[in-house]
Amino acid sequence: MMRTLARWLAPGALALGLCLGATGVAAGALAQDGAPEGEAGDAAEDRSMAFEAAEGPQTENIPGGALMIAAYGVVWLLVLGYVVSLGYRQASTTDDIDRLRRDLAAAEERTAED
Amino acid sequence: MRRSVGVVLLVLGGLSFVLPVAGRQLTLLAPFGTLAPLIGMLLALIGAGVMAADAHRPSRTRRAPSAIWIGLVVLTMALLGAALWMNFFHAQVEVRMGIVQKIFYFHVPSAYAMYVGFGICALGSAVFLAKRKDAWDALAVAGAEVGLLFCAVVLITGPLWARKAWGVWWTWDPRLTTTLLAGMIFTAYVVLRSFGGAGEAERRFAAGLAIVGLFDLPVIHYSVQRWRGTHPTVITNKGGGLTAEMGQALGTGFILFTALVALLIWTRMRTERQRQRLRALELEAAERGLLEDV
Repeated sequence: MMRTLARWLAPGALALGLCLGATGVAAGALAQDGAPEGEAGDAAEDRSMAFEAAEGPQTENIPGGALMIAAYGVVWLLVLGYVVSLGYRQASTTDDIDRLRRDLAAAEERTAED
Repeated sequence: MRRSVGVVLLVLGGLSFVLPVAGRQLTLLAPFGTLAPLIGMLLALIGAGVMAADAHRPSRTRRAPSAIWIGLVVLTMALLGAALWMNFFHAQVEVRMGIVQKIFYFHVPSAYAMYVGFGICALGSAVFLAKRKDAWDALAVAGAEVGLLFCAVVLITGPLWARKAWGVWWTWDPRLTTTLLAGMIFTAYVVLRSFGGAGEAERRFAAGLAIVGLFDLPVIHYSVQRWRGTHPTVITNKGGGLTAEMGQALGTGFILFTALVALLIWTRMRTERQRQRLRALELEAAERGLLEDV
């Protein structure tokens, strides 16, 4: 069932990918065509911003400390959680391989005895 | 038991970071005042350590980690320390956005790590389709998972920064939308590989999906230049820019995330290769009648 579904869907997925790629290229070209000369290339520059270093104590309307701590914490919790999940997956696979090797060795012994 | 203790400590650590965003704090950590997030991080680290110790069991099958892998772990830890020092003590506070701008030093390298992960997934998938070698399939799975991890980091840290910079958590800006789309495409890949079975047809279909996902990566990158949106550009040829110290902090972040993404993909690929060996053994066992339902 899955094989048939995949056989039907795989060419469709590739065609969709090509269409998406072509759309991206066309959109890029249209963006350039529709804009006055130099404007498309300058769109990024128009929104560019320079970070400026603060000197002395500063006050903030929205306290950013909590947002920053949350961001840093989330980054490292996600990475830690992923590493731990990898550890568990590796341990589980190792256990299964050990068990199967034992079973296969036992089966071979039984076959040799017979 | 040890696993449950680890999970509780990890959750407590997580809550100590997330609750302050809503103006709340864990009662348990309230006596520590401003040190509460640090205590939370310590709890999370202990929790992860407890869970790692629980996962480790003696085995004849497990190979000892190579010296290069151990070296990469040590290098990544050293780079993490250096990056944190650069972010908080070397780079200045930004005058308009304040301290929240320091998210930038992890947010941008995370986006780069996401590109690397998804790019490696597409590369592994393309070579797998051409050569049908399991190792390339394992590389593709590893790239997708690690790329998705960093995509989640980008999509979580971005709104935290946007809340301060734009006043909203989320906006349907072209770059944000295309990043979310990439996340959805590779989530589909990971779900398919996790729950769709390990047959040849499923693996080939997933490889096609990864190649479809690849087309979204340049769209994410150039969307900020081609379509007008809210997302700023900081690193451009003219205008914008960073002070020397900010540039050094960002550079250290890029080096750190390069090491981290390499380490995670390598580790995940080893796990996937082990699962492929397990699958081969299961087939052998099934042929000998040792397994009932394979």
